[in-house]
Amino acid sequence: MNSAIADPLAAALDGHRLLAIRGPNFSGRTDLLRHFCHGAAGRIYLGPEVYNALSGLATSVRQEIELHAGCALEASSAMAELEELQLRDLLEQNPGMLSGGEQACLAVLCGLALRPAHLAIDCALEQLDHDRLGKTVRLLSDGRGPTLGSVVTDNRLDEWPIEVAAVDIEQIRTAPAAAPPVPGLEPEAMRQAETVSAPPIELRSISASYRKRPDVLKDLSVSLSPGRVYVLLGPNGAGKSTCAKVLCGVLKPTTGEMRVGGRLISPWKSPGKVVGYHLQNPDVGLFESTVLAELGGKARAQILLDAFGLRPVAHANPLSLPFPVRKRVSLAATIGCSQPWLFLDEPTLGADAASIAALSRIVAILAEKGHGVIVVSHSHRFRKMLDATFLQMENGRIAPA
Amino acid sequence: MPSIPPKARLATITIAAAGVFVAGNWLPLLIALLVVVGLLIRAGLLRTFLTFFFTMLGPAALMLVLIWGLVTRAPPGAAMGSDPRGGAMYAAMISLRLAVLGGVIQLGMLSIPSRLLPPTLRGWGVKGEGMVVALGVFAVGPELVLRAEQIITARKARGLAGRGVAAKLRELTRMIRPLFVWSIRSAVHRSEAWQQRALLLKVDQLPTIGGEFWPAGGAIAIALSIAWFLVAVISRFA
Repeated sequence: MNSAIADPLAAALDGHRLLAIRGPNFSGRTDLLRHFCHGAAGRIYLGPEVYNALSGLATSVRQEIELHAGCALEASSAMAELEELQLRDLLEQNPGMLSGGEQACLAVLCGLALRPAHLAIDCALEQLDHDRLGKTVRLLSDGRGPTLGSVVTDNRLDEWPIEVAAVDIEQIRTAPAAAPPVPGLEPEAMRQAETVSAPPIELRSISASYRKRPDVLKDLSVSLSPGRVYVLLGPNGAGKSTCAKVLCGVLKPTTGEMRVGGRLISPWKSPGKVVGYHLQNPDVGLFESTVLAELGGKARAQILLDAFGLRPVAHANPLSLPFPVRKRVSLAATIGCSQPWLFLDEPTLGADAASIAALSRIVAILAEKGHGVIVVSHSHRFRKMLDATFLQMENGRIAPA
Repeated sequence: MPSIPPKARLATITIAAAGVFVAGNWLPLLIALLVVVGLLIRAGLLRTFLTFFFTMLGPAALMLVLIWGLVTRAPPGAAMGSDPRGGAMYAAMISLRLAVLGGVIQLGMLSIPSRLLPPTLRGWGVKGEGMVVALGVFAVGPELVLRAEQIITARKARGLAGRGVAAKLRELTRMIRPLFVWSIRSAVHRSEAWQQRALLLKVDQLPTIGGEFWPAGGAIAIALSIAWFLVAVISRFA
């Protein structure tokens, strides 16, 4: 059965250095790529959970690459690529401490260090900023990629800076796709949610860092008005997630102050009360044994089940669901906590075009309901759909984009 | 950063640990503890040692003193209740030995620079699956801490974490389930990745960098450990 699924893909890939597979969520793209690599020597699968593609054994980026390359980093071909993907300064960092985009770059580099015949990348490049995405795609397209070519699935294909050969999944699938585990999102259901009154937020001269490291946020000042959507732009590692942690009170800034509704507050004393933060990695934010329990089980949970199309899986274990559904559950759970402000870190990760459009509607409705919403997303499509104020984050500071 | 050569490191740890068991009274052990703590500070490992001291050794020492000083009220070999002070002293000596031993092992193992960990382990004759297990032991701690921090962050980010000691204790119990589930899931995914990438075969190819070992440092470390062992022997038989 595996070969029946995978062979057409091998045939389609023939002669291409990089082939993209187009298709919506639950169309069988992941199964196709998994089966393509399963039990086949020289074929490496890299899924959207890039942290699971790393060995878990290395305590530094250098060691991770050396483990995959089977030789010293300096003797491997990865040095130039490290430079190109801006990972060279992170060689002594623990791979687990890298940002999502940096981890994705590292996972690709490790895959290439194995010198495989084929690399199958399943939505793992969606976390990359535009610059890194371009460099990674070029890397896979030219002679430095796998010997026989790479195959990718990505929901941002139409935004890629380089055009690549693409094929619809329908053209290469031999078996019919399984029924999707969940229906599409129903954003209008969010209109039933109660209205909130979010206070304005003002950050003044905020600096923040992680243990004994240089400041990630440097003298950051910004004013945020309620009932609006803000999009925080910036390259991987610019400090966007750190900004979210300060806003929601998970990380105590080293200097500066935060005012909510004109009042000076210390959010780290009661984190998550004013700003709810949806993390990029959905798996660390799922705690309960059913989706319904994860959403809080109250009236708002019923609204969220409909809005996010989760009713068919309401009693399923969240961690047993496919990645795009887990991301939906995690997002819905954050919204379910009813904080007046919401910081959504890459909410469209793993979401197809239809889901992205629906998510943009949900964000708009949340703003209409009085929430303040801050979004971080590398998806141009999503950003274009939002009626938002754009802020640029670079070198630990925020400026109007 | 230069490191002690593998064999010298192993010899130093073994001799120093033997000295801990041989030492006959509390004074040399106390001096050894101070020296070890000084070296731990220099190696940047004091925080790790204090964590071990307060979370593991402290409670264990308390239990030992309670058992030998208040329950048995006598050291081993003496009639029950005959010598409460002797029982407590015996418990204190065991605790002191454990503190020095813990410090020696932490200093010996955790001061290996991560880049030199594979060649050091290989120098000790560890290879193949043994190497994976050994490297895993070093990696699992930081990774669990990292993942636990991420879970706490996610709970705080949803406003689920409360304030105060009781709330923090409750949070600890709520963290266990996702941490356990994550460990299992991660192990399954990673075992697939390891198999697909044949990483087990590659572990033994992790580079050996001989030039970064410091033979003179190894000789000094062995000399220090032998000196300590002799002091311990003298303290026992003097």
